[in-house]
Amino acid sequence: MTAPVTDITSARSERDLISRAAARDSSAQRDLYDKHVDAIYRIAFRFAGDEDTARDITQETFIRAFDRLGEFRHESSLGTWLHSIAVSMALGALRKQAKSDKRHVPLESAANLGRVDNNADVDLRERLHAAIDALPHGYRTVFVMYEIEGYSHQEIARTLGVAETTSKGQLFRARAKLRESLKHFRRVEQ
Amino acid sequence: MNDDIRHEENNSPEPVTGSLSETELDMLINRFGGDYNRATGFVPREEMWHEIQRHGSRKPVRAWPSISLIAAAVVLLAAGIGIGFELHSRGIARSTNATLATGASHTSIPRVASTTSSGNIVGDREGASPITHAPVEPVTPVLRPPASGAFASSNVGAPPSAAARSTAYSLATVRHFTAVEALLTSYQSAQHDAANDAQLAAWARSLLSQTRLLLDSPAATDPMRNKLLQDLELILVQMTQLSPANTSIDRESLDGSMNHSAVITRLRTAVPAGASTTL
Repeated sequence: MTAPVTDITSARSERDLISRAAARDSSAQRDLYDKHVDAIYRIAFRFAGDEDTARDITQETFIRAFDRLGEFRHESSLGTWLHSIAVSMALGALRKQAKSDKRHVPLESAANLGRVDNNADVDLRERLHAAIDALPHGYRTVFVMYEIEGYSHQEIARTLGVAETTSKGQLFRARAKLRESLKHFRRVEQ
Repeated sequence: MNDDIRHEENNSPEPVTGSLSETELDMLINRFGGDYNRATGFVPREEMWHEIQRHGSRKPVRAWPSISLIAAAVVLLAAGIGIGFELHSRGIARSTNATLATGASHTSIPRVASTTSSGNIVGDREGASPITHAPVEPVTPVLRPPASGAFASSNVGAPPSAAARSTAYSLATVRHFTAVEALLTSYQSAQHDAANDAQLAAWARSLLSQTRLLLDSPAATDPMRNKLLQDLELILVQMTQLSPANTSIDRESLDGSMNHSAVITRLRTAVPAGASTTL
């Protein structure tokens, strides 16, 4: 009687998997990949907003992770470590894209979106998303991580390599900008 | 969830007027925030894995050798250039001396060959009348092939004296010892992996041929130098056989030979202090 694959996988400790993957054991790397790829792709997509970029970010995240797995000190979970690499890769990719990012619209344009008298959910969603897209990269990163992905300020600070107060300040300013850019929505709703 | 923000907002000197309230914004985020750039259900796992694997298969072969190997290669190159330059310089000096000596023994025979500023031999000067009085012995004209380059005149003259040859071989041997020492030091300090071993083996191969040339040359007439060259030959042969498949055995054997013959110490003794930088 053979044990289910999930049992076999769970029987392997993450530490053992990591050490084997660090030694370029392909099957161990694949196990780690399978375990984390969905979450990494999801967060990559959050930042990138399109499949191609999300895929590039995910690939680069795992390539870098496998290259540096020997440096992983188990001070955090592997998932947290991978997420921090993914966010770093995403920010790098977005910086490169900044000039050609068609989705990145000026804040004024996002504010104008709020003037459209359409209270359908689809429009509200689009207005909010456009306003988020219009945020400066730093604000948007913290906003997405905190409000949408559910990171704590401590985790954001550790991932981005900034102080917690910086994370809180960025979030505060991001929310202030969103409130300002969506002010017309309030009138529409009322 | 947003206690921090509200706290900061309360301290804000200029609250945003006419904008959404915090509660309204939270409501919007709760309703629609989760949809922001939400990934579709399909995650292209296999495609991404294929790309990761493709990159991984390229990765282990290092494109660049280690710094120590590069440094050692630079030392070797500099040594080669130095030897060439030294031999050329000595060749010029020797030929000049030979020419002067020849000139002294044939004072009655003017030298009619001259060189251009670029060193090309132009033969008899047009219109120069040869001085013909009383040569002691007939001068056999020497047919010289057209030469070019700055050192063309260095071919002129008799074969080098034994002393000059000995000096040249000594220089070449010292240079060679310096290069081998660099290789052995790199071997001891380099990380032992397949890529490094391959580079070390290739390097050892080139030095091995030089070692054998020196063994067959007058440089090996000195018994101590001869013994050292023989030991080096053995070690270099072992080093050329480093292979990823059998590395630990190869290395043990090589380490044993190096320790047994104390070759690095003997190399350092054989190379005069500062020779590697001044020669």
